[in-house]
Amino acid sequence: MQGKRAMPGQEAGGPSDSAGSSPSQSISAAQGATGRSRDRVLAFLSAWKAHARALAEEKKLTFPHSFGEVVRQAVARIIRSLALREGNLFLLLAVIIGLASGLLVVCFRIAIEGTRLWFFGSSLTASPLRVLTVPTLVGFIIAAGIMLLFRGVRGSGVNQTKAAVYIYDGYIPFRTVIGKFVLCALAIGSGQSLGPEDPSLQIGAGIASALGRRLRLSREKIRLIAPVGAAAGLAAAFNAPISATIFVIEEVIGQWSAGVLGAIILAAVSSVVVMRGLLGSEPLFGVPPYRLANPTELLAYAVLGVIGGFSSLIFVKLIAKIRPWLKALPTWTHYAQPAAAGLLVGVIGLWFPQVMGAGYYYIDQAMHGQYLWETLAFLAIFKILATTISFASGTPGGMFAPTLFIGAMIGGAVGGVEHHFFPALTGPIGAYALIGMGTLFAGFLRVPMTSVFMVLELSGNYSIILPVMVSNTIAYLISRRYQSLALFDLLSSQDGVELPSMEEQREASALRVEDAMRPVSGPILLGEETFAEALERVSGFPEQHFLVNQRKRGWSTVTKEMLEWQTTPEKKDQPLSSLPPSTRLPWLHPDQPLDVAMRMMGDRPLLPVVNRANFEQIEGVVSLQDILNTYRKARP
Amino acid sequence: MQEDKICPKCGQMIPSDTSECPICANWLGFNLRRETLLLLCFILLGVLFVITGFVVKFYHAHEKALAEEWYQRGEARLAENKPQDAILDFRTALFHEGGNAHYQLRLAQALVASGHLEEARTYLMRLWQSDPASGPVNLELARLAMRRGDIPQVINYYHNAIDGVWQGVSEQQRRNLRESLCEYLIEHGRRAEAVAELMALSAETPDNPQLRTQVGDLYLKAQDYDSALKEFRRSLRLDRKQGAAWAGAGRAEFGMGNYRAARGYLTHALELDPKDADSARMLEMANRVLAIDPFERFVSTRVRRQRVIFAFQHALARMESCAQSRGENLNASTPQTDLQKLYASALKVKPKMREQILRRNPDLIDSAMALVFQTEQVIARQCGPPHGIDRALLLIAQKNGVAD
Repeated sequence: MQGKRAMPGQEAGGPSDSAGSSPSQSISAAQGATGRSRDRVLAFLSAWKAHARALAEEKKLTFPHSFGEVVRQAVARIIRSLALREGNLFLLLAVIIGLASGLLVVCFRIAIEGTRLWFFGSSLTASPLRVLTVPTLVGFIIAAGIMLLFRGVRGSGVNQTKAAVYIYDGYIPFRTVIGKFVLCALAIGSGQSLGPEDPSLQIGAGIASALGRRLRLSREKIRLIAPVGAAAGLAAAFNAPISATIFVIEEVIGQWSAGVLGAIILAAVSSVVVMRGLLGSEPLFGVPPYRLANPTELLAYAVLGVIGGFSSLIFVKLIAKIRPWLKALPTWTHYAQPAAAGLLVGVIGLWFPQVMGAGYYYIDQAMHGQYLWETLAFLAIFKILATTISFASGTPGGMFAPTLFIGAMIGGAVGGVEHHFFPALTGPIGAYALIGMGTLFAGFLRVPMTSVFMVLELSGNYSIILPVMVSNTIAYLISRRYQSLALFDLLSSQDGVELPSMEEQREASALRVEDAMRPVSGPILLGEETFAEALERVSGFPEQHFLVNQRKRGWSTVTKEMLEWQTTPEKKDQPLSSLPPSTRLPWLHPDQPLDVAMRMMGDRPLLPVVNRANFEQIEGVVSLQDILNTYRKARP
Repeated sequence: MQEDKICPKCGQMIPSDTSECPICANWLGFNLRRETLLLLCFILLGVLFVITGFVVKFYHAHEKALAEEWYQRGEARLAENKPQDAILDFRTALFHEGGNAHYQLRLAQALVASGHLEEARTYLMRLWQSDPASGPVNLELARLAMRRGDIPQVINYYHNAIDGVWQGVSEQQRRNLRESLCEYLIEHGRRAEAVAELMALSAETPDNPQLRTQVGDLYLKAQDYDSALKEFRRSLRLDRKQGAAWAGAGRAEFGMGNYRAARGYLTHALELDPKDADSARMLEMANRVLAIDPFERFVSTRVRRQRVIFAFQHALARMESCAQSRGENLNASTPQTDLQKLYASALKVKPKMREQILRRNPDLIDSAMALVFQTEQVIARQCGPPHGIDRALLLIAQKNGVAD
């Protein structure tokens, strides 16, 4: 015990002296012993230490043996104080994930471009031989990579991230990240009609998952960290942090939770900062200036919405038919499917090289009015074919860029035709192409909020909001009307996984208290009434439970038996407000979800449903049986 | 029991075949604290950042080199006057370096040259949005607006171009732009706007005789003869041997109807440049006007009467030849056409066109000349532009405010 060691200055006063007396008394003793100020200070210190030691012995405290130990303990204290709580760690991790995702997405984009350059050269028009052979031969390599090394890269990155959240406790194998990076770069670089956003999203999610596990986050946080990474990856790929955030919330998480929203935004912003810092802040597309000159022009965009809606329907139906058919073919064909898809894409590429790869540059061209409307229409049709073939063959890659491409071409074509017949329309073709992108996004991917924000973010022009909203809404409604399953839900069902459908969650009508409540039967008693009066009032009613309005003290319940029992000569004149607190009832409001009523019900026979503005005004009552009956009726 | 398989440290599931959590147990042989792992993450991020930075730098340099290569090809094609081929090269250059404003401008120019106006306009508008003060972009937009005939936009973009930012462009080039704008406005009959531009041009033009003469010429085109004359006089004050300035001053005076002064300037101009055919023609016309103008100040009344008779007889003869060329009968019993009516009037006046009668009745001079002027105008409309004496008579009419 260090307390038993001799301390400097101990001789100035014995332990027994100091332990029993206060430091000031010891000082007085020391003052008598020495007259000089230095001695006085030393005496004070020794007395203080003796006092402290005595207290420590009483409280079983320990003191360091040496200076080194003091330092060690101080450092340990500092480290302990620096130790991150999980909530803070989650936010810090979001930033790290954002930075890492940004860097990897930059590398991914360069890898795609580098591959393209290597395969096709620097010209925009490659030789026909290359156009045919490159996607075919690379298709074999991709197939071998998928079948032998990276089985997990097949399929949609969005769904794999959702699966990580809802099935695998946030687990995404890092092998899949590597596979996505390498094989998608090869696929898109070799001209397969796919995009880099979906893989970027999964790369981000994979990094997040790996970091979350290494840093031993709780299971709940690890589940949430994958969407954070997904947002970072998508934001860097799109150069659009708002759209990425909304997409992840709209399609992956499905709820606006403050805890995860902050992390998602941090990650998205960090990744975009890195991406812009390294690749420049140029937007993906050069958007032409736009101004809605006349509200009647909205009709023209409504037409675009209708055409975009039906086009996205065709696109989804094609994928819905061809993907399972190809998947069901014998396993050996899976080694050849990406190559066959590459060959078909190459054949289309001989006439329309624009359909090969992600096609961002050609979207930009369409926005600048480079193509005639006939060309734009052909490009849209062939891109739908090429993307369906590429995606259905199991070649890894995303659907975002092809969706934007098809949307831009359809938009441009519709704009061109409308301008031909109505030359007075003021909107440039580029504006139609831009709105077309959002329209197909809304119709094909069924993410209406993201589609609107994406167009706004890409154009940086608020005046385009009205046409976008009109067109996107029409396309979305058409798609919902004629295609029951949204694309991501369709893909997951084809893969034999039942992931929660965010669209169904959004659209599901929640049961509310008002659906279960019934009018009050029997009298409502008042707190100021006596037990005798109350018994007299309820005597003619068959009900057993009666509500008591306790005015400002809320609501209680009382049974007929209790009233009879209380109506003794001693108690009969007591008011109902003297009822015990156990009879108090919580109250509900008509608009509250029914599961809230369920949770509040407990063993209570019924709950009052009161007006939000006036808690004394009763709207009805609800009992457990009422709630169960309502759930039973609403069963799908 | 499932609870037994959850790691108490990290909350992860422990696989059934292992006794301890694979995550918490160790990592590369170390059981590291979270804080240490975070530190490692930051170090790794730093390393990744440096590596990515180098990769990006190399990538950008490579792309830039490719873009430059394609751009040079495009320039060569443009120099060969093959804008259609140049477009593909510029597009490829932009594919590799999309944000390069110069490539975009050159592409837009190639598109304009090959007639793809709408696409060129979209490119230019995008450039304009990112740099509204760019001189070359505004100039190209002005040229596109010219093609569309959108005069307010032409003026707007030209102004932006004149006041815009140019690289290595002198004041002279800015003045040239304003001159182009003036010429455009003059061509399109916007004289008032052209004169306003010319005033600005005059104010910013240094005292250089050639430049002053150029401004004067523009004033002449805008038919602001007075301002033109001032510019030519300023030019002559600086250099009296400016033949063009003498000629310009002569034309300005001629335009204002000051044929005597015009004759002086034009004579000087021809002395300095005898090959100046325009000035020679104008001098001849000025001499002719001065020779036949009955309202000339320094002629006697007798000569004036003679000139009126001459003009009347000439107009009558011209009327007959015009009617003959058109196959029109001037002696119709009931005159219907303008020419017939004029001829009928002329026949009534003809007997009075004698010197004695005019001397006795000087009021006839004005009515006779009015008939002459009217005849010349009608004939100019019906039988083509006048020459020689007819033109001189019309100029006299204009000077006296009778004709347009």
